[in-house]
Formats: sequence, C-alpha cells, structure tokens
Amino acid sequence: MLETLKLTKRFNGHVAVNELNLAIKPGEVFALLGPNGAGKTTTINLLLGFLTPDAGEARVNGTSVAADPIAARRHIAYIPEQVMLYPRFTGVENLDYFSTLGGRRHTREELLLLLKKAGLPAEAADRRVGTYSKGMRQKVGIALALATEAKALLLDEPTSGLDPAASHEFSLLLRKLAGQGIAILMATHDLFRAREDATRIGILLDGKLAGEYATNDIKHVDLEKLYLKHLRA
Amino acid sequence: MTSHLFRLELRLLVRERAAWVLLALFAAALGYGLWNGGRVAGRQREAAAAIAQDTEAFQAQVRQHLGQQAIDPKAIAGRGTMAVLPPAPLPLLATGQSDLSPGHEAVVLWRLADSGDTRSELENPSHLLAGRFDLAFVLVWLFPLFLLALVYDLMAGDRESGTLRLALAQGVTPWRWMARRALARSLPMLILAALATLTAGFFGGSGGTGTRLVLALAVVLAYGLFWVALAIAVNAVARSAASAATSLGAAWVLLVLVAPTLLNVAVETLYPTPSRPELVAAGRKASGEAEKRGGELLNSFYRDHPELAPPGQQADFAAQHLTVQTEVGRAVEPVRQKFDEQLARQQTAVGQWRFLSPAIAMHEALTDLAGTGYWRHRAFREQVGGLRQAVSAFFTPRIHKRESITMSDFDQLPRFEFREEPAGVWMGRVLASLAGMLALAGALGVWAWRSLRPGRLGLLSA
Repeated sequence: MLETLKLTKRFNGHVAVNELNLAIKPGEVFALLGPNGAGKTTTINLLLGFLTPDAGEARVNGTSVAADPIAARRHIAYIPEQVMLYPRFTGVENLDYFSTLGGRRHTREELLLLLKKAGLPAEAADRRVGTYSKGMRQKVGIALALATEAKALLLDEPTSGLDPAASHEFSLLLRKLAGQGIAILMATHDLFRAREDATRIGILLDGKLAGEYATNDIKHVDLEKLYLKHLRA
Repeated sequence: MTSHLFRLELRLLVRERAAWVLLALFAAALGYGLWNGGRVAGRQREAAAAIAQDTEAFQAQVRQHLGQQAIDPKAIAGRGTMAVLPPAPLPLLATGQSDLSPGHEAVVLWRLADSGDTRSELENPSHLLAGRFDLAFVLVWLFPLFLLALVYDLMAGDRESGTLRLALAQGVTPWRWMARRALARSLPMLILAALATLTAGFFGGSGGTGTRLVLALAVVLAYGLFWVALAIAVNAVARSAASAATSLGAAWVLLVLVAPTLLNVAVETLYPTPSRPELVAAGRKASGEAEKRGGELLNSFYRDHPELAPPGQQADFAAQHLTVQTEVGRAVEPVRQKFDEQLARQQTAVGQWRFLSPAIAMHEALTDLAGTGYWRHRAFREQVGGLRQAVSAFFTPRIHKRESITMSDFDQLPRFEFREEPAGVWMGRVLASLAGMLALAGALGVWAWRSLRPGRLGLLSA
C-alpha cells in the first residue's frame, strides 16, 4: 500500500508538494495527472526517499520512507520515463544485476521466464541492451518489478514516447501487475492511458490534489474537460 | 549476493575495451620500471662484486710482499681503502638516491680533503619522484593516473544517465553500492601493482627482506586506497562523469606535481644549502693557499707534533702533502658541514611535511623500504667520514716517521663495514607514512559516507 499524509516539499520557498494525501490500496492503479511542474515527479521522489519531506509523511507498505528509506524501497518497484540500463549488459544480465541489488537472487532460467512474462522477445534477452528500444527497456523494468516481488509500483510517464502498440502492450502488463495485488502509482500526461488503465485518477496542480475521480464514473471526453477545467481554474 | 554483484561489476568492467588498454599499458609500465630498476641494481651489484674481487686480489698481493719484507706505507696508501654500501635490500622497488649518491667510495690518503660526495643534496622532490623510470616512478606517478582512469566514474555517470535512480530504488545504500563498485573497478590495478611489488621483492631482494616486502605491499595498497577513496568522495558530489574526471585530474596535478614542488621550494627557502660552486671554490682557495705555504705548514705541524718529526726533520713530499691536506680539510670543513646540516634539515622537513601529499609520503616510504633512501645514503657518507679519519690515523704517523708496514700492521689497516640503520628507525618512518595515507583515505571515506547518507542525495532528484 502507498500512502502520503499531508506530504509537503518546498524548494527555495516554492511549494512543490502541498499537504498531499494519497492512499493507494493493493491492486489499485492511481493515475496522477498534472501539467509540468505540478509536483508529480517530486511526489515519486518523496515516495522513493530520494527527497526528504519538509512536512508530512510518505509510507510504503506501512514503512515510513523518511524513517527507513532503504526498507521502504525494498517494497517498491520503480519504472522511470526512461528505463536506463547498462548498455554493455544484456537484458538478462541487467535484470540479474538490479534484482540482486534489490536482494533477490534468481537463476538464469527464472530471469528468462520473468523477461518472457514481461513480454520481452526471447531472442532479445541475451542481446546487449544498447540495441533495445524504449519499449523493450520498459519491459525489463516490468520484469524487475516481478523479480523483486514489489508491493508497490511507481511509474513516471511510462507511456511517453511509446508507439500505440507498445503503449497498449504496456497497459496490459500494468493491469496484470495490478491483478497480482500491487499498488500502482502512475504519474502521466496521457489522459487516454490514465482513463484506460487507472482505477482512480487524481489531478495535481501546484502540488495539491485539485480533484480525484474513479475512472468508472467518467468517460474519456469528460476526463479531458475536467482536466482542462481544473487547469483554467 | 555480494559476491555475485561483485562478479557482475567485474563483468561490466571487462566489457570496456578502454579498461583492457589501460591495464595493458599499466602492466607494460610496471614491467619496464622493474626492468629499468633491475639494470641499475645489476650494475651496482656488478660494481660491488668487482671492487670486492679487486680488493681481495690487492690484499693478497700485499700480503705476498709483506711475507718477504716490510713495505713503505706510501706504496699502499695511494691505492686507497674501498668503502662499499651493501646492495639495497629491495633495489628493484626504487632507485632512489642510488643514482645520485655513489654506492662506493675509495678513501685515498692523498685525497682525504676532497669534498667527497656532494651530489646527494636534496633534489626537487618532483625530480626525485620522477628521477628514473623505475618501479617507484610508476607506482608514485602513474599508478594513481591509471587507477583514476578506471574509477573516476563510480557514480557520477550513473547519476547523469539515470541508472543510479533505478539502482538505488532497489533498496541498496548508495555507500555500499559505490564501495562495491570502487573495489571491483580498482581491483585489477591494485593486483597489478601488488604483483609488481612482489616481483621486485622476489627477483631483486636480498635475504631477510620479508618484513620490507610486506610493508611495501601495505604501502602500495594504502596509496591505491587513498586514490580510490578520493574517487569515491568526488563521485559522491559530482553531477557528471566529466566533472568527476576534471576534479580528479586536478587533484592528481595538485598532489603529485604541485605539492612536492611547493614543498621543495619551501624547504630550500627555509634551509638553504651553500651552493656547490661555493663549496668547490672554498676547497680550491684553501688548497692553493696551503700548497703555497706547504713548507711553513709542515714545520708548524712538527712543532705541534714533535713525536712525529722524522730524524733530521727533512720533510719529504708525502709528509708535506698530508699537512697541506689537513689544512685544506680544516678550511673546507665549515662549508661542508653547513652543507650537510642544511641537507639533513631539508630532508627532516620533507619527512615532517610529507603528509601534504600522499605522493611524497609514498615516495619516502618506498625509498626507505628499498634501502635507497636519503637516510641510508647519509649513514653511508657519515661512516665513510669515519673511515677517512681512521685511514688518516693509520697512515699519517707512519709516513711522518717513515716507518715501514709489517704484516701485523697491515692486519690493522682500517676496513669498511657498513652498519645499517636500526630497523626500528626506518620502520618508524615507513609506518608513519603508511598510517598517514590510511588516515587520509579514512577521512575521505568518512566524508563520502556522510555525503551519501540516504537523506542527503538531493542530486538524485535533479
């Protein structure tokens, strides 16, 4: 479970995240929408413990991130906008490296299976990552989430730059992960994917949650209107 | 888990072509340094052996003559007594002072007042460091460069590319992650440096060098550790691989080039030695004047030492020459003494301030361990000074009295035996250098550890 309780972060007097309250349950996909500078990435950095909050608290699976960032991170899988892997390693070696860093050691067969589950073509697993597309690198990121058996997944603009087919494929994987009981927070600009993949949507403006909606209650076109209404308000 | 990650880090390293090139170049430099050091050591060993053989042959010849009749002391005084500095314990490790100060000296009665060795003055420490392309040069100067070329980008590049965010998101502490990587990336260079040090000990060392070799290994590894700690500290704060490389390059220039030069300038300013031309001019002047007053000096000498006056007080050329020499020695002595004292002060100051730069501490430690350092050569020069006095005391009365030398006299002819500096003294200097380097590495490590605490990784969010 992912939680933020009045989470606040300031940079040189500017409030980037302002008393943010979130609670994302296992199996839930929460899409955090907002323009550039709204505080989406800062929220993710606070949940990862890469930043220290000025007030409030972030919790992952009940562990306070500020109190024990290392323990909190052990419950998290993180997929940034660009999954940066070691280009001299193959896909399976990258997965081996990062999952071992996360404290999980797998056999080569297990790693290959995880990559397969994440949708990476079998022939690509032993190819150097330097030759991978962005979509393929994201699949290694998904495989990493599976390998570390994370309780929560943080996604930062995951579909940015993906072609529609790759984006659709990614959505399917995301739903599969949610189905496994993982709490997912996805920061995105992509209204369509947010409506398709998320169970709830929050609109973040100036670090504050301006509105929160269940995706079952709104249509694509309504979401766009709501979003623009919040922006203009 | 840790060993698996370590292997993966090594695999990442071996996939870099540049790493292989660097390792090959470093290995070649070490090999050339060892070979060069071996050549110098070999020449010195050959010279010492030739002297020993020559001396033995001469003594056998003299004994043969003495078996038949006593001989005139002037006949053997001109030959001189050889003072030989025994081969250094680990000569392949560092040429040190052995290419500046001679390892042997003929103490000849007729030239006792000569200035002897004045070439062993303290050189620019950076020249001392560069000196010859020996193993010490490679270890002090090039080892940090090659090492930094492999470890300059421990974290900065990952921070720049974004890999660091993914790595740290797995729940590993930045300190542990970087320390493991630093160890993996520096290990091949450290192994090469250690192997070269062991090679210097096994192939060039004389007997009983075990302690020196162990200490040399510790000093080399501590020096490497210092540079790795510096790379960790720089990477803890550098925003990009390029800025890390620039900072570490600047640190190398500062610590290996600038600091020794500045220290040299400082000690030469604080303790200036009389110039070499001044020493030579003082000798020439005294010599010229004394020769002019030769007869007068001799008469004066016999007035002071009537017991040495020959029958009829007819001084011959040899007696006059000895008297002139004594006078020259007396005139030059204050200049020479000042020269030696200032050199010792300079070297003491270098020793005290060597922690300004680990490169100075490393060089001092290596030459001490090799047995080619300033203090061992100074001890040799001092002991040669003692031999001069003994030779003078042996021959002068006999020449003045025109006494012949018998077999029993010849057995009492002063011979040179070098007394090594007590182990505790050189070991104290080496251990202080070692402790200093470890302390500097430790301080950098603590600073890096503090900078890498999870709550202080603000750069990650950029």
